[in-house]
Amino acid sequence: MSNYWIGDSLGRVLGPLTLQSLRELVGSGRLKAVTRASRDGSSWVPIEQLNEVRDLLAAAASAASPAAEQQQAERLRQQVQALRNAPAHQVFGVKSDAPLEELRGAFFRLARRYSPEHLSAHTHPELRKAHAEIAELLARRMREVEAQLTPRATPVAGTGTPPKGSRAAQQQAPAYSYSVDEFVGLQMGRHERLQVTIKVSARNVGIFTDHRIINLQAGGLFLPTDKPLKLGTKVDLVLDFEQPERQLRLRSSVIWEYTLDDGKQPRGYGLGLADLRPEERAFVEEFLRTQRSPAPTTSG
Amino acid sequence: MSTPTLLLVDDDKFVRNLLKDAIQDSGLEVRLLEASDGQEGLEVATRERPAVMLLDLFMPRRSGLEVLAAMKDSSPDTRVLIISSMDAEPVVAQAMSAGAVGFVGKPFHPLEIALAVRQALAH
Repeated sequence: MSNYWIGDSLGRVLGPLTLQSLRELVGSGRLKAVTRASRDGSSWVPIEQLNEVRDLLAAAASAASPAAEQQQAERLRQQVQALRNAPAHQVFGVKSDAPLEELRGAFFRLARRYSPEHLSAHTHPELRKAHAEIAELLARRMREVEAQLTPRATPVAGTGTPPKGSRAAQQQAPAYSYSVDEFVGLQMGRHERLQVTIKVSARNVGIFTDHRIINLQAGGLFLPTDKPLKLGTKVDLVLDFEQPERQLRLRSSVIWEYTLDDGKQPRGYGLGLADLRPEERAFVEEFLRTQRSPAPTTSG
Repeated sequence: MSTPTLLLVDDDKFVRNLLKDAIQDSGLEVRLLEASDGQEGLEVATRERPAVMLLDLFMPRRSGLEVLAAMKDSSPDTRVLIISSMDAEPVVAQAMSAGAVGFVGKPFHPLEIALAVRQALAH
């Protein structure tokens, strides 16, 4: 059986794939980032030059026309209309006595299929809207199912989760709204988490050292600002170091906020760096050491 | 009983963080390890023999399918759960017949991850 590999400009590869798998991936539009293909995993050609998928690439290009997308949107709208008053099992395509586990599985599959994250940035607004309507219908039905089959859960949009490690957290699953915003992992740095990028240079290394409580030694950094973030806000932190050049991407959260303008402490927020690996910490410490050292003189 | 080890293998750190959040928020008590590409994932798995590996498919150095095949020799008792946006039916079938115990598509829902991990741990 023939095998195929695909790759993108970031060096990511997937293979060995059967021809059927490759064609299905191309036909379903999942390979937007893929630029190259190979029949042996070592010799690569641009994917457009692979005869085995040329027909699918051409078909995908014509299917993405605005007129075709509008037609597709109309078809989806009709489906939503037909299912609006249908019971959950019918919406999810399972038997009327299907257990919760099966309903959840069917919901997850359908919700993913209609996730707006699978649409390209150029998708017609009408088609995007139709996807959002389906996703909303699915989420509503799933909340109803949970309320019916798990009476102790209270899946209400916007509710938070109990503190990690608490007894409540271990006994009760977090409440979910099942909205599209809760589906994550495809496009990063959006939804509930905030993305903060800081260019770190000699001018602002004080973020690691100047605050008396929130500093590198205590496992954090402090950002002085007039608009502090709320405690507990999850932050995907990107630290771009100037020299030597290096980027650290860390999971973080706001562990300190000071909003009073009393002159006693700087206003701003502190981010915890619990995710920092020992090697990354050593890099930051070395960076601080070199930035704080007096510049060498040539006199002498 | 000792705390089971979970290995997260994904080249995107933010995805690994989301997976960590989903697992920790679910109340599961596990030891979490991570690796940022297929090669590193295989090395960590060989050394640590995790109970469960959450494995992306589209990664630098070694693809998830190659890692999955190598796991049969490197850590045969590890249950491998695929987490990937390449969730077309024949790819899922390929991964499952190569030994994966489950397949979660991206974007994923945190509850989906928690349920799949619980299932893999009980497998």
